[in-house]
Amino acid sequence: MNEKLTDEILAKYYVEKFPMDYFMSFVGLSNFQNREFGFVVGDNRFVRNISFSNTDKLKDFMVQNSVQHAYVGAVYDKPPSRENPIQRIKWKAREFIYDIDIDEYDLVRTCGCHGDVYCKDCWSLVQEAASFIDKTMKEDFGFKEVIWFFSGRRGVHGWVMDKITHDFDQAQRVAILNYLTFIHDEKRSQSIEEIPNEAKPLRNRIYALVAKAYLDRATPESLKELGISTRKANEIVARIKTFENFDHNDYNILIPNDTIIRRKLSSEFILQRYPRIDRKVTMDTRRVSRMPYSIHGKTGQIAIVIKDIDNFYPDSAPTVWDTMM
Amino acid sequence: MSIEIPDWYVLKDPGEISVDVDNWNRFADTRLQRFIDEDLWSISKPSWMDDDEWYLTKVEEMGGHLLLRLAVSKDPRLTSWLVEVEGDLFEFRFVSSPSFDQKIKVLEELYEKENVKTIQEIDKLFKINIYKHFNLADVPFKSSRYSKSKFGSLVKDLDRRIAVKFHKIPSVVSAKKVLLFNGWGIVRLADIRLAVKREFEKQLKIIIEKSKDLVEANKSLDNTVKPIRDKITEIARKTKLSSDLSTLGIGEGEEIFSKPELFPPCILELLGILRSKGHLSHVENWQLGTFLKKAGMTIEDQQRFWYNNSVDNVGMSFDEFVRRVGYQIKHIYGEVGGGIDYSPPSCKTCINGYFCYWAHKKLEDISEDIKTLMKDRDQKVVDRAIEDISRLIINQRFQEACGRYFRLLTGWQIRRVLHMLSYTTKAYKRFYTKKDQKKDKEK
Repeated sequence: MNEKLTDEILAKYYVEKFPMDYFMSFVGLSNFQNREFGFVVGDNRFVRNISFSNTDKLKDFMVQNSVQHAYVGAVYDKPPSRENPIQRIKWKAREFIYDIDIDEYDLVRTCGCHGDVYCKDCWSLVQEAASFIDKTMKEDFGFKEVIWFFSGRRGVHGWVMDKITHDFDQAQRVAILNYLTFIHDEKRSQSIEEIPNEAKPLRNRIYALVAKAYLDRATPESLKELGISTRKANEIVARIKTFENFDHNDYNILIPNDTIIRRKLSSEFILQRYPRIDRKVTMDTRRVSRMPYSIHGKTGQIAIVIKDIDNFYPDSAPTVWDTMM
Repeated sequence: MSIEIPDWYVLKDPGEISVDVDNWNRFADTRLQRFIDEDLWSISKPSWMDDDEWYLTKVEEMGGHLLLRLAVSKDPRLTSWLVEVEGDLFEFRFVSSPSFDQKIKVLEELYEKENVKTIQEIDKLFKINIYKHFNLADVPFKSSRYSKSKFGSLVKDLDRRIAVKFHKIPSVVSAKKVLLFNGWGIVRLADIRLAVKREFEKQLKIIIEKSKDLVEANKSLDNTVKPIRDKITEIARKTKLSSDLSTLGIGEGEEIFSKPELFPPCILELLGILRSKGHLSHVENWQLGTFLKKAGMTIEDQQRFWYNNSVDNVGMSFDEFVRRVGYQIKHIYGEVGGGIDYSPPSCKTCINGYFCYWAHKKLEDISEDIKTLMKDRDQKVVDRAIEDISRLIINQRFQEACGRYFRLLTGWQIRRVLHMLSYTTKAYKRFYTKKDQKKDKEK
């Protein structure tokens, strides 16, 4: 962060620059008064169970309370408040959201980065994860639109905009997550599930995207460690970059038809490059998520919409000071 | 020709049938007896039967079912039992129905018409040939697995595929036993039959809960169903009505710890950690707490147990401990919070986020544990078991590793353990029921 995030600059951003109409286009006007908001205000105090009768009041709150972080939550049958906290009122709906953070990959990052620190090399893991999830949501689940936002610090959030997802209960959200999950116990044993035969579109996509990303970075030595012969390992490394649109058929031609080698290889590329999703964000129907276009209190960066995830790098996201110029 | 909903689908609108309480009681009695005898019977019109006689058969079917619904509605345990046995009957009738079209019709009723399509309809809708496009011919059907199932050779059409909207079959999506295409889950009937049964059970439960108001508001109706309710209650006393292990008599309070052979390895490990270190993570507390509840401990037993074993209470009186921690324990029993009578997590959930002995403990330590525990057993047998278990763990087949361990411990075969409660149930049968029966015989 290049300057101190003062109360004045926070207020000025929310008065002059925060695109309320654009924000509302993501959450919708209906039931606005019954939607929960949460904020980190002033001296790092987290407050939630807050709702507003209209957008002007939301804006006033953000302007007057030195909001370091702003979050939007679920819709309930009554306006959430201190008297009517979300535990006591009935849940109605919430957006279906993915959260991918770079620190989820700490156990497999080989570039030397750790925690919140990232470089172009390891950031590609986040980009690949977002692309993979985006495609799976559209092609397998038939959703029409997924919007990706920068989280403001070390990751991205994917909002599935199809209305049907808002009503999904926890079991339905977890089912989608489990369909996407191949690495279990990500922060400890990192067990890898075998790629199933029946879920063919998913399997084909894993070969086309995840295996390709892994093989692009593989060396003959790393492939030999998986049991692939020297000649074949050299051939794979030489040929992988020549494919324009690598797909599952190319994978099946390129990789030796040996069950044990294939199993070892798929475990390795899933471990190294498969998406790692923060499960709680997706499955918890009462969770609050960062408000699109709000300021991240630790970096001063804005949680902007990412138009092209393949070419987005966090440094390119504007800070609150950039917006004031 | 439009296909009608089959007559065995008891959730359908019964239409015009006159209520005849005396006869319905008799029908309910017959139906109840068949459930007790574990008879799974079909209902379809034989060619020799005339329409009047068939109508009476249908009234008997529907009348008996409706009266049982009313009879159990005031008691959640009896409701669970009826839902379970009606679920089994529904599953049998669904998988053995000779008509594929009837199966589709039932799915349309359960999931709503717009959420179910045939593969031909999907092909037409998306202008695609699903079979060719995804080369479905190379996904072999495990016919032997289904012919060995409890319904044997009676199953029909289980290898045929249909399309169901993905959000209607979350358990199948979760298990990745589905080809997802544009929001449609292309599945074999074999792979959704359990999900279909669960959906039937869910809908039946909702209907029964609704009929509770009817019985409570109408005294004479309540009196009418009383004999059947008493009869079911009597059966409940004699048999196990649910998976609640306390009915198996594992023990009460601290007594349950005198039978460690009944505890799955995950629970034994958590108990060991708690006793040596004095604390567990939040999810591990929950896992252990819900297990101990099902094993027979009361809220008070658990409060005392956690007070004695947890380091967080140093210098704290028991009453103060109960005031501070009592809420979490009561929450497990559904006495506070959402009022849910929680069950321990399944093995899959434990592997993914709670504690699984096989997934989360180091292989070397597991091997040492087994060697120590089995030091009196034939070393060759133990070594072979350790080898099998190690291979299964390396291949991430943790539930099968648990099953192999169970075999080593008990001599009984389980392919894989699905739930810690089923582990304990089976261990109880192995170590107690069988011996008790033997002792009885000897007497």
